[in-house]
Amino acid sequence: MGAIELKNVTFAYPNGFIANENLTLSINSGERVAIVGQNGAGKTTAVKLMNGLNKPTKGNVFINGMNTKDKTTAQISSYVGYVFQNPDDQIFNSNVKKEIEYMLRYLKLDEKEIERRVGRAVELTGIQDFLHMNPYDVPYSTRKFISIAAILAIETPYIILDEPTAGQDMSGIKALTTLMNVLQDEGKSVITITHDMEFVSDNFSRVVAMANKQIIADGTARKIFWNHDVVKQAKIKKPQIGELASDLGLSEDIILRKELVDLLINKY
Amino acid sequence: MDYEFIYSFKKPQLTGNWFLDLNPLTKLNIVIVIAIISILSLSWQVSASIIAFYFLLAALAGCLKRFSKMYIKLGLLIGSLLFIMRAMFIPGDHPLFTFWLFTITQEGIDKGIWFSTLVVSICGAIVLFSTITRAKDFMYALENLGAPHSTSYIILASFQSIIDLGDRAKLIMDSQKARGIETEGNLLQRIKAFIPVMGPLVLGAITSTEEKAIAMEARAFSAPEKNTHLSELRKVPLWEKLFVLLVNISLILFIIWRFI
Amino acid sequence: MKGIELKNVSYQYPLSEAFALKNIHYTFEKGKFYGIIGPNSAGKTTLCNLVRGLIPHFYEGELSGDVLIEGKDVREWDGSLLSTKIGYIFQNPFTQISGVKDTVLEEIALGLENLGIDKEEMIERVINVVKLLKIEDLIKKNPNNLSGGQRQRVAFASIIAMDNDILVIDEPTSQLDPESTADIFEIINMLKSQGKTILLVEHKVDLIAEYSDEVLVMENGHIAYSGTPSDVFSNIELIDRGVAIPQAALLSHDLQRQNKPFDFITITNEQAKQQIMKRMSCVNGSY
Ligand SMILES: Nc1ncnc2c1ncn2[C@@H]1O[C@H](COP(=O)(O)OP(=O)(O)OP(=O)(O)O)[C@@H](O)[C@H]1O
Ligand SMILES: [Mg+2]
Repeated sequence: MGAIELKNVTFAYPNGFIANENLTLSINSGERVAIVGQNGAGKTTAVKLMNGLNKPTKGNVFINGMNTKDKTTAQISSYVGYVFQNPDDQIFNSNVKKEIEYMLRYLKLDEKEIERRVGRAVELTGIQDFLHMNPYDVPYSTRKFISIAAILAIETPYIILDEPTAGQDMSGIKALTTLMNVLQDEGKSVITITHDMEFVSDNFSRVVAMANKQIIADGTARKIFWNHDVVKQAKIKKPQIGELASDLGLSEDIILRKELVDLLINKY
Repeated sequence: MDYEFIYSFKKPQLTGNWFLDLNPLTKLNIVIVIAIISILSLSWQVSASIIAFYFLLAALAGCLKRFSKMYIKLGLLIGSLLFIMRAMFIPGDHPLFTFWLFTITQEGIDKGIWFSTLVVSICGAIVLFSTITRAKDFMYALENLGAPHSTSYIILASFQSIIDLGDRAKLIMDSQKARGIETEGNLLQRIKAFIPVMGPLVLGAITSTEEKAIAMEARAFSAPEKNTHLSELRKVPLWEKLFVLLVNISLILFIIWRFI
Repeated sequence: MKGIELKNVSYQYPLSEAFALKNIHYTFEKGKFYGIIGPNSAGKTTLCNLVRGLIPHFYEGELSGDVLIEGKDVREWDGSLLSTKIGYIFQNPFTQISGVKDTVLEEIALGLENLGIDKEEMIERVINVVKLLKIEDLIKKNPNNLSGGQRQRVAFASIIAMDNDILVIDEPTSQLDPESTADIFEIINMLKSQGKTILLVEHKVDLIAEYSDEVLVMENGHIAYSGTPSDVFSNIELIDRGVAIPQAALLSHDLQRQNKPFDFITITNEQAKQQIMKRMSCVNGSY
């Protein structure tokens, strides 16, 4: 059984709107997965099922074999860290450092451990210069990194990032890439929702595509991007280079720039 | 596209329930009259009957469930709090019993009952009004009366900010849960989780006011043109005017009966 | 024709020692599409606040130099008139929802109500933007129950319904799926063809290269580069300075490095495609 397991899960919001329908998904420990798909497909709703913020209306979600129905969100969250899509929904302290330490103080860790964990989270997210500021006074893209740091500090084995690439510049994307690599080296699972197709093709081997409340495909980035029906339904696009290769009618399923360069050098 | 929904805005959006469809100002008039009667009666029996009467009105408007959900909780909290305060501190000549530093007197009990039913009945007027009136209709009615756009907006925004504060509190709780802080479970645990968020809650409310102001500005809120409305209110029918007249005459009669 | 002129403009936010904008000298002409790019904290949003007149009408702080909007100094503009002249779509869609309306339909109509548009026309216009943004399914929903991307589209629709001459748009696609992103660029291009002036802040440089007339690269509060997309994006220096350039340009540079350059530095997929096809037909032709 996978570390995170969704079995025929349907979820309806309190107003009755069904946002997820019959999801089945299994993610192993140490695995890195991207979730892509159209706006409103139900991606955020689905990952909230994985940390217990949402409890299934039908079906079951298991984390390390525990059914989330039998546990409180707080209990599940010590395994699954979730970084909210909107950092303003997550951040509530008036000082960046306090925000990151918040949970560690609740856990009554000793000062040295707190310092170590905060230091590591801050370094991974590159927010050293903002520690003593009010989170409301920093740009949106930095706020996102603050919300990531607050979750990293808890050091959960599974981490979910909800659209970390939104509004990030080149250095922000680079920082995210490094961060995911470090987490993976430590054996942690990272699940990332993103609309940035270059980021997906550069960093993920496994991609889950969602459309219209459901999971419509689960496979390698190459398979997903070169499956015309999936691309169309999920309202995604191939990375720019893939689009180019497809426009050129190349038979190879290219998604990376390096692949196209090699092909051009060798063949043409 | 749901054109039926879009075109429903071309006419006043009526619910078909005669009480709900009353003009917001008519409803306001009614609840104010009821509250005045409760105040002037100086009798806990009248106030208590009025409290019961609200439930009848709410049922009439088809909002009994929504109204009860809010009013029972609020009423019990405020009512018992006020009663205890009065009962404990009001001195009198007829002590009933004593415990610790307090002597409970018949006068204290009487005053406590009277005052708590009075306040709960006034709260009821407010709760009832807000359950049976959509804030935007009220705002529109005020503007029709000649209130400036900005005034009615501030009223609406204050209504809204109470709801927002509640939503924000829920968000912070979710954020805490998602980090592993227990906010579910017994009351004590919930209160313990809630205390540390009070500060951020207020602070966040202040910060978001600025953002709201800019957001409204981007929607040309202060544009010099006289603003228009997507939804409209029904023209007040004759029978409704007569009904208001009747309600107000009964108030005057009540005052005459009570004081002359 | 000149739309907005910035003459040696510098600005500091209140209580801040650093300059958020330094010596900006630039003229935005009417009817053109300007793409503004650059790393975060470079001053892009501040520039938006400035041309929209929120600086100095809303934000205090130190403003020096001249900002002329249609020839008139921004300080002399009536702040409330600016909101009818310039539409501003914020970076953060989560704060742009008014919070006082219970359906998306009414949310979009809010700006039109404030502009005093009569009801028949209001309904017409709302229907049009709803169709344009393809948000038919959302009109009955409560704006507070939308997903991130849905919110962003509603915020966009709410502003363009107001039909302003100048549009300042700060990262309108940050939460959008790739297809909706492409739709937004098409819509902006259409608005430009209606004669509107567009200032667009974006990180998606491939689309900026394809659609914009002029590109401004901001860095540390000033304009580091400006010019046509070809001028700006063929400059490889940009990468070293932490500015993303289109994939087509990166491809060009890669090939150049391997001594198989294109005829010129391509900046759009279309240009790259032409170059590659030319090369393919040479190879195939030699058989
Ligand atoms: N609190 C809520 N109440 C009711 N419906 C909701 C709520 N939150 C979201 N929805 C609806 O559920 C659907 C899925 O929303 P969700 O946030 O999961 O989408 P998403 O895939 O994350 O989209 P995006 O890419 O735009 O973030 C949407 O149609 C949305 O309108
Ligand atoms: Mg989402």
